[in-house]
Amino acid sequence: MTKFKFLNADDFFNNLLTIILFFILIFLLVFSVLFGKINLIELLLSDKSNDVKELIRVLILEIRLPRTILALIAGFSLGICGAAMQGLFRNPLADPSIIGVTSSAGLGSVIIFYFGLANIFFFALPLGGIIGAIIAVMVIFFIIQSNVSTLVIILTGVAISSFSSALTSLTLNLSPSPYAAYEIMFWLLGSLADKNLNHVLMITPITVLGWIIIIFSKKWFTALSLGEETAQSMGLDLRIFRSKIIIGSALSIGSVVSITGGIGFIGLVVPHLLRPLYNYNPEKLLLPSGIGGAIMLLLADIFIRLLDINPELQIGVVTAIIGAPFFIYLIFYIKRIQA
Amino acid sequence: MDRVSLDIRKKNILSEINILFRSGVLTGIVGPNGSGKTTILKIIANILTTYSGSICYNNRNYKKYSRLDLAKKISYLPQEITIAWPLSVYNVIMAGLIPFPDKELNNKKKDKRVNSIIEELNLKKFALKSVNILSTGERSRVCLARALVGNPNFLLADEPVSSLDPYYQLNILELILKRVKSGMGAIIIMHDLDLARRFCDNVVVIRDGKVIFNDRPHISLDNKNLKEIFAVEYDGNKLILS
Repeated sequence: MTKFKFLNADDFFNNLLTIILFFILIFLLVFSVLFGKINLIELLLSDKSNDVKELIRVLILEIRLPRTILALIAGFSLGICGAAMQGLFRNPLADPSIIGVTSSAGLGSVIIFYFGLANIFFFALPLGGIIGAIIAVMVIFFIIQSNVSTLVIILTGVAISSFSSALTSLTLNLSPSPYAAYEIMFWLLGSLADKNLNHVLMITPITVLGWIIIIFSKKWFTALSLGEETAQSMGLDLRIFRSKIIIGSALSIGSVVSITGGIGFIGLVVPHLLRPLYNYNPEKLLLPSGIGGAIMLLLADIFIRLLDINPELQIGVVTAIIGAPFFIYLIFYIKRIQA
Repeated sequence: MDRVSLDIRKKNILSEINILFRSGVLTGIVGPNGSGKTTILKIIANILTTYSGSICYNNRNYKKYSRLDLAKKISYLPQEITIAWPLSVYNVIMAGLIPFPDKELNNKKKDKRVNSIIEELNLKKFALKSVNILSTGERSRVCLARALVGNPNFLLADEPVSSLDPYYQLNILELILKRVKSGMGAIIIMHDLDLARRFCDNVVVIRDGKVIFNDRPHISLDNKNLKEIFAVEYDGNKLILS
C-alpha cells in the first residue's frame, strides 16, 4: 500500500525555505547597518582618531540602527498582516490597509503634525498614530459584534479609509504654513529615514504583541480556507477569530504606520509571492510572509541608500512604483487562472 | 446510542421543531425550498447559535460542550464548497482533523487517518493534486472525506448529491450508508425523493419551518403527503405533477 509521505517532504522543504529566508534576513540586517554611502571600514582604516570613532558610533547607533530596526519591524508587520488579511478575507487581493487602519493611523499622526504636538511631547507622533488605528478598530469591532458578513467588514474598511483620507487632505488644506504642509506631505509618502530610536523602541512591543496575537490563532486560517461555515462547524468562533486578527493587525500596522507613514504593496505582494512555495497553506504562510516582508523592505531601503539621488527617494514611493504594476499583473493573473 | 435532540421554539424561520436523531440511522430531511432545512442543519452543526429552545447531544445541552468537543463529534458538509486556495486534496482532508489537538492525535496518527480515508474513498489517484482541478463529483468526494476523517458520530450533509451525476449521487450516498451501517448517524438534506426513499431509514418532512412528518420513508413520503407538500404524486414508478 502506497502511503502519502509527501506531507513530511513538504514540511521539510517549507522549514528549510523558512530557515533560508531567515538567514537572508540576518545577512541583510548586518549589511544594512554596516554599509551605506559612507564606508565605515574605509573610514576606520584611514583614520583611527577618537573623532572618527565617535562619528562611527553616531552613524551606527543613531542613524543606521533605528533605520534597520524600523525596516525589520515594519516589513515584518506588513508581510504577516498581509498574509493574515488575505487568509481572513479568503482573498489574495486583501492587504493590511483593507480594514482602514493604515489611513486612520496616518490621520492620527497628521493631526499631531498639524497641531505641532510632535515638538512639544516626545511620544506624540507614535501615540497619535496608534490612537488613530484604535479608533478604526473600534468601528470595525462594533460592526463585527453584530455578526455581519465578510463583505460588510471590507466595505466598512473602505469607508474608514476614504473618510480618513478626506480628513487628512482637509488637514493639509488647512495647514498653518507651507512648511507644515510640506512636512506632512513628505511624511505621508512613507520613509524609514531620520527616525528616532526611542520612537522605534516605543512601538516595538506593541507591534510584536500584534504578531503574537496573529501567530497564536494560526490554525484557524486553514479551516477558514474551506469556507466560513465549514470552519465554524469545525469549532471556530468566527467572531472571536476575526476580532483577534483585526486587533492584532491594527496594533502592528497602526504602530508602524505612525512612524513610517504609508508604505504600500509589501503586504499585498510578499504573501502572494511566497504562497505557492508553501503549498497555498495560509497557516504556514504567516511567518515566512513576515520574514519576506522584512527582506523586501530592507532591500528597498538599501537600494535607496546606495542610489546617489538627492533628496533621498521616499521608500513608500519606491515600493508603490514597483508594487502597483505588480498588482495589475496579479489581477490579470488571477483572472487567467480562474478562466 | 448517540443522539441529538432538537427542541426549537422560534427562530423566525423555524417554529416548534422537535426531532430526535439517532446514530446508526440515516435520516433524510426533505421539504420545499425555503422551508428551513438548512437552518436546522446549521443549528445542529453549531454554526447558528441564536435560537431559543435547546439542543442536546447525548442528553446533555449543547451549551455545556466546548465548540471543539462538538466539532469532534458532529461534522458538517455544506451545500456549496468553495475552497479559497488551490490546496492539495491531502491537505483539505487533513484540515478535517483541525478540531483534534496535537496532544490527542499527533501528526503521525493524523497522517495515518488521512491515508486510510484516502484509501476508503478511493482518492489515491489525485491525493496530491490541487482540489481546484478536480471535477465537481471528485471534489464532493474529497469534501466528504474531509467531513469523515475525524470519525464523527454524526454527519450533517446539506444536499450532498444535488449537483452530481447519477454515478456520483449513488457513490456518495453509498459511502455515507456504509458509515451509517457501522454506527454513524447521518442527517442529510435531499431533494431527490426517489433517492430519499431508497437510502433513508427515516424521513423528516419540513414545511414552513415546521416538522410535518417524521417517520419511515414510505410513510413520510406517501402519496397524500407528496401531493400536499410538493404538489407531485407517484404513479407507480415515477413522480408526476399532480
